[in-house]
Amino acid sequence: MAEPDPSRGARRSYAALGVVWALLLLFPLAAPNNFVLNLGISWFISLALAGSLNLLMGYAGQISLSHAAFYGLGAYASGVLSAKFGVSPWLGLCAAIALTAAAAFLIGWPSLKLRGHYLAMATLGFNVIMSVLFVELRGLTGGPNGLVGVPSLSLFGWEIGADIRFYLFAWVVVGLMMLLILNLLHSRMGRALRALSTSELAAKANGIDVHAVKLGVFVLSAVMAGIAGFLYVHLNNFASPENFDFVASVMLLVVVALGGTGTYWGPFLGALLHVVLPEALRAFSDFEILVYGISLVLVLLFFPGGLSGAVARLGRLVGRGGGR
Amino acid sequence: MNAAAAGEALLEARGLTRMFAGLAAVQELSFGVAPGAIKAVIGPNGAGKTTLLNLLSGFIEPSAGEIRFGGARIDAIPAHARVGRGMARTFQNLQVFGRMTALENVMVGRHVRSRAGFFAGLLSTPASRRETEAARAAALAALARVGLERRAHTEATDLSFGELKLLELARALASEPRLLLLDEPAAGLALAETDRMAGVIREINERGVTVVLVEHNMRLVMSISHDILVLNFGRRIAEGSPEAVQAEPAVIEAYLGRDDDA
Repeated sequence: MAEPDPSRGARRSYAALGVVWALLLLFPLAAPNNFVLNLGISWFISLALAGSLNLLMGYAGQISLSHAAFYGLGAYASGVLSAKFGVSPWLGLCAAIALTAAAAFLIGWPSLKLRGHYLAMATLGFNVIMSVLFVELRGLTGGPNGLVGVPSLSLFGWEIGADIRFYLFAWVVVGLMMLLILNLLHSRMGRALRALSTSELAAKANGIDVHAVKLGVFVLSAVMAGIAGFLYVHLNNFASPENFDFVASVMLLVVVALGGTGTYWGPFLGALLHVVLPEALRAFSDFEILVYGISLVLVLLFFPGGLSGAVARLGRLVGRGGGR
Repeated sequence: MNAAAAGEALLEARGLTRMFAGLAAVQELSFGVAPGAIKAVIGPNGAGKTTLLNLLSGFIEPSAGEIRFGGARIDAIPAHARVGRGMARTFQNLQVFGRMTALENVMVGRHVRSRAGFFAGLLSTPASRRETEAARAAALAALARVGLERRAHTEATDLSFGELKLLELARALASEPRLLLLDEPAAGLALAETDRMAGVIREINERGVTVVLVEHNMRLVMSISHDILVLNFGRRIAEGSPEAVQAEPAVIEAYLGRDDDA
């Protein structure tokens, strides 16, 4: 049989995304209560985080240790503006996008000039700095107790409360994000960023401005994390610094790795773990990160492609069995 | 080289020098490459051939001297920007894009011949989609030129060594270069593959692409080159047609050593 045509592969990915997204509309019908529905909303937010980090880490091969800081920056930007200054959350969203983009640009510009792990070092420092700011700028952020009194979103006079309404809102926003990511991957810049992840030398030799493309994808992934933060803060009407610390950033790296780096569907599975595992591991409380670590080691030992790699392998096995 | 000849050259180096920790890898080198030529750069190991190729393609900066391409100074232009001007290269140690198919690898070669940026890509604008379709068609054509069209949808990492060499060549061709810089295209190839490579290079040249190749394989060099530049210790020791260069005492000495050494 002929090998799959890539344009057909792209069409299949779009079709699969459409089917998955349509099925997600059924989830609220199946959800027995608001708690489970909220897990669904959390999954959307986790998917936005994992999907955007995967774009940077999985496809472009750049390690960021401050994805949670951008998430927090987006959350606090919109949260503080609306809670403390009465600014419309929609303007807050613009501020969240502008701030995360500017911060990513300032960190990325110098550290991406150099090859190697400078971005990882710079982002590690950035996350620590942001954590300190979230805690110490008490007047604005509420300090270690968190930011309270963040208003819910409202659209044309309709409040988007933390129930089916927010579920549908997140369904639209994160659905658009995942669609944009899929678009990008099948475009010229998507090919460029996938290319430079395996050989910067060859990327340069093919006319790719490696620094500019790396900077572009870093800013893009930071902005997407910022938008996830915007969703988070107006969903919970609250933000707390420990959700955005260095450990949270490492956790996101693990989530992407568990799902399968550099695969479009990996983050879908990773985000599922991100939401379900903490609930399942509630009994372990402080050992949560340890369990994460162990599961990461196990998955990478037995399924180097992450969960999506394992699923694909299983699919091939089943497909081959059925073909006989 | 006189002024008239310099004006005709597609690529020209003048007084090109590159120092590494006080040692000159390339020293006061001046030469030209005529449009439409296949020019080989040969010399013993450490003669500065790959350094020269890296200087020409912009991967390292010269310590002194200048490089002109199509009449314009390019030695201050970064490597990636030289590709858009019509200069493409391959690597001695393979540099293919893993986790991408052969076709996708070659589509990356269309980067400088298309324009869609991040926003166009994210929004999948009609222009961006048209470019991707055009890139796919051009990449398939480039694969066909090196005889790899049947492998288009194979993951690059599943290709054989000889196929990967051809894949790099197809990817470089996809950018529609006027000048192709080849770093040891025959290194590691078996005899039949070397002949196939020679045929492909000759055919590319016949379609109007000027070629500069660094190569150890004399069978390939002597069979396809119009013109040979011989380096030793970063300096030119001979230049001319294959026959003239082979007869040059300095070349024989550089490769075989002097009689009175014995």
